[in-house]
Amino acid sequence: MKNRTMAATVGVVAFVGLAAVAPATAGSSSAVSLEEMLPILAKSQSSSDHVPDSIDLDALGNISEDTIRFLGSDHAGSYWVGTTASDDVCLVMQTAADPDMAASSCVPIGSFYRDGLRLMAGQGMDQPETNAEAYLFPSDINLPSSDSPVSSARSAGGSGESASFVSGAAGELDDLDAFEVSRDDGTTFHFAPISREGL
Amino acid sequence: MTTLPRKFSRASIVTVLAAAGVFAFALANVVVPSAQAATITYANNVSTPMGVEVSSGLRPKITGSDASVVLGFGTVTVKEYNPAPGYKVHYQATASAAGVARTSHAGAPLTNAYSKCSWKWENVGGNAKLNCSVRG
Repeated sequence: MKNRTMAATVGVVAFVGLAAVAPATAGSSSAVSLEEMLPILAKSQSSSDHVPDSIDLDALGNISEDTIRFLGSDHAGSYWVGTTASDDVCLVMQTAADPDMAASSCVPIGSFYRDGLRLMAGQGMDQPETNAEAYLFPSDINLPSSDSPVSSARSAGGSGESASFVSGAAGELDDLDAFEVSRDDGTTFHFAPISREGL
Repeated sequence: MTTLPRKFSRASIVTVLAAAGVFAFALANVVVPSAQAATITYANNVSTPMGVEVSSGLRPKITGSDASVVLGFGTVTVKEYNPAPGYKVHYQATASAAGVARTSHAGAPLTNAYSKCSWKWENVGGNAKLNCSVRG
């Protein structure tokens, strides 16, 4: 009987503890829905959104095929966004230099809201021309007055159909600088480009 | 309440059920690994200094790699390569450290190659825990 009482007490304490932690965890991520962050996901999927057969979405993080949306392409690669069953947001890339190669970067929604997604892939820094680089931001990050670092990069060679997306061959986006954006909800969006130094 | 025939004692039934459980467990451990044998984890929460690469060792076949790090910011990198002499990186991905970087090239697998992973957060030193795996 004593053991049961002890077990019940531990259970209640654990429950209360979890209840106390859960709101803090939720609060540290985002109250903004995924579709608000990425309006492209709210659009109906079209045939042009599908990835080529050579791209294995399971191997790239169990990305749900019906969530895949095409972001754009350039001379360095093609790019998609999708989500997983656990609601991670994934940036998918197929490099132009080697279409057999695909890469992905998947982050939890809260991380995407805070930092966006960054991905560089290719055949290493010894062959820089093979590398593609891409950045995806939540839609409330306004890239874009003409003198902002991201829009400069876009006009300098990056491409993409989304206003919150920039891509190009590694080296074409060197004008990108780190920046922060303070939001009305009190959070701050942090951006830092991938540094090729030491890779 | 169901009563058991006398010739089957409760102890013998427990023994049979336990044996069946052990058999099922053994079967699962034979079947499941063979289905998942393609993925080898070569870094499992390995505390690693920034920039130091953890290697998988020689793999007969590689169709992709995963890497993540327990870190709030920075980047994580995974590379598949042939070592020196003639060191060459065939596939590389660098991604946000808050998530997972993955490569996939099932249509063009590497043979007798290596996978390695590392992390970087500029101007921040110390160690971070790496998790890396390679698919064959």
